[in-house]
Amino acid sequence: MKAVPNVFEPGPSSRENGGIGEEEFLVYCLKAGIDIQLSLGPYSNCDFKVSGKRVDVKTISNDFGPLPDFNVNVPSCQVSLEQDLFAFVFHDKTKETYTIAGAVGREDLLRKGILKRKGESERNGKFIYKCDTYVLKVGELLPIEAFA
Amino acid sequence: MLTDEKIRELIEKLGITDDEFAELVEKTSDEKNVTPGGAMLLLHYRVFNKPKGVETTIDNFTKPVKEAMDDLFKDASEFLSRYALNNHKDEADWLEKELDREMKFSKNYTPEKATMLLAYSYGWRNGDAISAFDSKLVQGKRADCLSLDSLLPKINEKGKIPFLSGIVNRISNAKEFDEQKGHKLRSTGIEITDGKNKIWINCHDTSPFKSKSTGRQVLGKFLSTKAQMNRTEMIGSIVTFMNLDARITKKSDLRLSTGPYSNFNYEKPDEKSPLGENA
Repeated sequence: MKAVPNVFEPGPSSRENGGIGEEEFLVYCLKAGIDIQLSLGPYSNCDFKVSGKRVDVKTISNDFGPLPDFNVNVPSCQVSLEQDLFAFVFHDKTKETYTIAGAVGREDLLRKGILKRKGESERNGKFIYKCDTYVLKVGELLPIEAFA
Repeated sequence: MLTDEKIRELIEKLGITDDEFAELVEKTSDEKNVTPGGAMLLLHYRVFNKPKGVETTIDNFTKPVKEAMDDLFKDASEFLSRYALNNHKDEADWLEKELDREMKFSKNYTPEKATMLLAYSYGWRNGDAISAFDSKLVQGKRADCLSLDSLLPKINEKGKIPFLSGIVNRISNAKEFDEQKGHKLRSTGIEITDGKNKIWINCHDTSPFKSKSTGRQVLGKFLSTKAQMNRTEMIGSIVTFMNLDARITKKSDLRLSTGPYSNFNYEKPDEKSPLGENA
């Protein structure tokens, strides 16, 4: 019954961004007429339920929004049987916009995602993974409607 | 989208009148271009959204605000009543006895907290049992019941659990010890579940050493590394641990870990997609 070990605690701004990203996701689903329910219990390990599937919404901040070649990632310790889908929202810091990039099922994330180990780097060492992380391209995501 | 009860709860939480609430819904609906029902869901989300970074730990029972505690207690009580009705219908006083035992066991806890702890050990998660798996799949693959009252009798006089099977729910990152702890070098947590209860097993890498009792060299075991190497495959697999160390902490938690004489193996369920819809 121990807490899931967390390698790096998200800062207050990340939490705020995450909250806004989740809200944008909720609004998007409501507008699209997707069957969405809240999952707000303190012991819930997902954010929403879309057509009964448990969804964990991840918000990524950058200066461009989503592009097919961009990576999305999920810390490997957060991938569990308690989420069926991972949805990704891009926060464009320049335009202050939030875009729903799509979603991936847990099974596909484990199968198609590349497991980057803690300490591995990208962009000539400019980015270092702080923990084991599953990485996928935006282009490999499906629209959330595909899961509804 | 929201039940009348939830709408009432929302209005009370906002501390506004029904008319003011109607205005707020209309405004939100226009602002976000969603239906009034959607706007109410959105407002509910904003008001009751769980604080970010809340971990799913039992310690959080002490953190929620009073109203949330009352709701949780109500949820937990209802869950236990349903559980008793379904699983112990021939024992009218089963729940009462269990609560008495929990109170005795947990000493300083309030009856509310003891109730929630008891409900938690029977799989309650905010009113819902964890439904991560198809129960037929679990039964077919011999996952043990992981509730506390099933685990405790498995501990032998040497403080070991000889065999324990469960389904891998998640795997933590590896933790390097700053200083070597006995023979232990690093650890990885594997959370296993029976579909309802969950428990973490700390898997360690251990260094070779010479046994004081037999004088024999004991080989190193690298179960943390084994978990890390196979983490993608392991999620959703049935894992069987052998010779686990079990101990009750000062806080009365059950801690399970591997040692130099432990091991584990795992197998994927036969189904085409073990992590699919049934998972």
